[in-house]
Amino acid sequence: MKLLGISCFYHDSAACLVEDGRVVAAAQEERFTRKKHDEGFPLHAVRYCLAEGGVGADGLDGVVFYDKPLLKFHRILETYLAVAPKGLRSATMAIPVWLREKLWIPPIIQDALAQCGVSAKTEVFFTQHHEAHAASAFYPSPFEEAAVLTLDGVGEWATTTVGVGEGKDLRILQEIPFPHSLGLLYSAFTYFTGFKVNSGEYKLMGLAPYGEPKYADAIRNELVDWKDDGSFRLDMDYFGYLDGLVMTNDRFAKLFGGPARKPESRIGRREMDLGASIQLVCEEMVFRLARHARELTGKKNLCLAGGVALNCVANGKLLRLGIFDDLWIQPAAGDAGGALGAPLAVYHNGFGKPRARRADGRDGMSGALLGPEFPAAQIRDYLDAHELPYEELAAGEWAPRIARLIAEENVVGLCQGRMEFGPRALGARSILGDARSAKMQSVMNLKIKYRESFRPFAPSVLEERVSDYFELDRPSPYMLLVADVRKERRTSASNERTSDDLLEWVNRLRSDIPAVTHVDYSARIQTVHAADNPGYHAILTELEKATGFAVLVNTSFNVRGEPIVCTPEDAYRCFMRTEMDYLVLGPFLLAKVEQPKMVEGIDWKQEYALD
Amino acid sequence: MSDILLASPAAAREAASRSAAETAWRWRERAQGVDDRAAAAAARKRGALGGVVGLLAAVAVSFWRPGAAWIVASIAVITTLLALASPLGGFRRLTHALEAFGHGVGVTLTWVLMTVAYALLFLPVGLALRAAGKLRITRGADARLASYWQLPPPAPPGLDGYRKPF
Repeated sequence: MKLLGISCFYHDSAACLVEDGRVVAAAQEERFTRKKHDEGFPLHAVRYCLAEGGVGADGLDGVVFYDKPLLKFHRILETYLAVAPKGLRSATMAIPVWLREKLWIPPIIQDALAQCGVSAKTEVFFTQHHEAHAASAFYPSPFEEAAVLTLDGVGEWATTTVGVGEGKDLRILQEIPFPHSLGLLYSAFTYFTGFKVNSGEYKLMGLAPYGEPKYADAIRNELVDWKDDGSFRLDMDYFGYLDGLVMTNDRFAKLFGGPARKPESRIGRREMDLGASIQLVCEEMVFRLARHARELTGKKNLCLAGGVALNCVANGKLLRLGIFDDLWIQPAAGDAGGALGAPLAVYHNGFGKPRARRADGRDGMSGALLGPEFPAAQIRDYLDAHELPYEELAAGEWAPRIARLIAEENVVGLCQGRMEFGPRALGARSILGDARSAKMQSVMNLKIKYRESFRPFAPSVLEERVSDYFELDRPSPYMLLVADVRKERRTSASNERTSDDLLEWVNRLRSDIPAVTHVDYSARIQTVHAADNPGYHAILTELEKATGFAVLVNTSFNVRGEPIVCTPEDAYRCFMRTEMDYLVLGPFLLAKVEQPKMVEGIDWKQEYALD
Repeated sequence: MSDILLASPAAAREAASRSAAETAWRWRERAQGVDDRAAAAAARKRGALGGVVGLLAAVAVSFWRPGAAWIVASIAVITTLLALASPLGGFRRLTHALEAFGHGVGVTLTWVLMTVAYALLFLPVGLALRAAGKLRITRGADARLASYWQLPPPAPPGLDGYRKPF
C-alpha cells in the first residue's frame, strides 16, 4: 500500500511517500524551489516522491494531508470573534486566503496528482496536525511502546499534546489548546530579539549561552502560569499574535526594558540575557511536561516531535535528567515532518496495519537520507557539458583523500548520496572542516556562511567514538542532542568573559576540538553510523587514521538565507559563491583554484531573504 | 514505467531512483533554454487568445458605442502583436503591470468588504458569544482549575475520521 503525505500552506511544505509503513522518500519543497521555508503546495516534492517510489497512474492508494483545514479555519474565525474590533488587519490578510485556497485541499491535491500523471480519483485523507507530529515521532522510532509528546506553535487547536504509542496504536490523551503555546512563547522571544519567527529560533538557542537568565523570573511570574502537572497558560495581555501581525506588544516591551531589537542591528547584552532566560524557562516547561507524560503513560521511553523538539539543548538536558530511559526525536520535527507522520497515522491507525520494524533494531528513518541521489553519470554529464575541471576518485581513494583535505584545514563541500529530510545536514549535503582548527569557526562563519559570528558549529563523530569526545553515552544520529565536551579535552584557560568583545570570547580556545566547542563547552552532536551513511562514516574513519581525531565540523551546505543545496548544480553554485576550497560531487573532486571564474548577472546575496 | 514493472524489485528500485534524480534535476533542459521556449510559447498563446477575446468584445461594444469599439479593438490588436513579437519582454512587462493593477484593485476591495464584515458580523457576534461565555479562546490563568490539560475529542474508529477535513 502506497500513501503520499503532504504538509503545506504554513511553512516548510513537504511531501513523503510511505509504502507498507516504510518511508520510501521524503523531501521539502524549499530544496527544489530554492525558496527557504517555502510554504506553497509541494508540487516538486510530490513529483520527486512519486518518481522515487515508481508510482504509476493507479499506483497510489491515498493522499494524506497533515491537518484538518476546517478545524483550523474554525479556530481562526473564533480568534477573530474573541478579539473584534481588534484584529481587522490580520483577518483581512488571512480570511481571503482561506476562502480562496486553504479550504479547498482535495481539489488542489487532485489537480497536482493529475499534473504528476497519477489518477485524480485517489482518495484524500486528513489527520489532525498534532496526530501527524505524534505519528512522525512514534512510528519510525525504535520503540515498541512509548509516551509521545508533541510541542509546537499551533495546529488546529492543540499546541501541546501528550499521547501513548503501543505497537501499531497511537492515541492522543491530552492537549493544551491555542493560544497557550510553548512554541509561540519561544517564537515571541525570537521576534523580540530581532530574529525571524519560524526560522530564527535556533539562533536564539545558540545565543543563550552568552547571556545570563536575568529575565527568567519575569517570564515565570508574568507570562506563564503553570500547574503541578506541567500544563500551562500564557497571559495574553503581553502577546500580539491573537489580534495583530506581530508576536509581542507594548506591555511585553515594557516588561523587558524597551522595544524589540531591529533585525540585523547589533545584538546586545539584553538580547543575550533574554535568550538565556527563555531557554531556561523553556527547558523547565519541557521537563515538567515530560514528567507528566511519564506519570500519565507509565512508559519508559519518550518520542518527541513538533518545532520545540528541535531545541536540542533542552533535549540533551531532558535525557540527562533521566525522567525517561531513552528519547527518540523525529529529525524533521517541524511541520515538514507532518508529511511523514500523516500517512503513517492513516496506515497504522486507520487501516490497522502493523508496524514495519527493522531487523537490526535501528529506527525507520534511514538516517533521514530520504531525498534524491544523483548518479555519477548524470553528474559527469553536467561537469563535462560545462567544461568544469574535476578529478574522479576511485572508490578506495575517495574517503582517504577527502579526510586528508580536511586535515590540511581545507573547507570541503560534500554532496553525495540521498539528500537529508529535515532541517539538518547530516553528511549528504554538508560543508566540512577540521574540528581541531582554532580558526575554523570564524573562517566558516564569515567566509562561507556569511553569518553572525556567535553561532557555533556542530560536530559529526563516529558513533562508536562519541563517548571519547563528549559526555554522551548513546547515538545522536540527527544532531538533536546537545552534550558537553569531555572535561579532559577542555583547556585549562579561563572561560570567564572579561570584556564586551564577543568575538574575543567566542574565538577563545576551549578544548582540543575548538571549532565545535560552544562557549559553555557544549556541542550539538551528530553520531555517524556506517549503516546510515557509509561514505560519511568512511571519511570520519580515515580522518581518525590521519589525525587521531574521529570528529569534524559539519555545517549545512548553503549560505545564509539559502535552503540547503539539493542538486550538484546547486552545490557547485554555492561552492563558487563562497570561499570553500574543495567540492565533492559524488565520486568527483573539484578544486576551487582550478575552476573558471563564475560570472553572475545578479548580486546573489540579494537572492535570498535573510532568516 | 513498463520497464519498471517488468524488472526485478532491485532493478525497478534503481530505475525509479534514476528517474527520480532526473525529475529533481533538469539542468540540461534549463541549459538549452527549454523552460524559456515553453514560457514564450505559452505567452504567445495567451496573447493570441486575449486578442480574440478583445476583438469579440469590440464587436459586442460596437452595437452601441462604435467609437469605443475601435479603441477596444486597437488595444486587443496591439496586445496580441506585442505577445507575438516580444513574449518574454514587452508582453511580460505589460502582463506584470496589469497583474499589479488587478492585485491593487483586489486588495482595496478586500479591505472594504472585510471592514464591513468585521463591523457588521464579527464584532456583534463576537461580543454576544463572549458575553455568553461560548468561545473556547482563553486569555490567561484560571486559579479555579487544577489543570489546563484538556481531553481531545474522541476519534472515530478506522478510516472514517480520516476522511473528514474537520
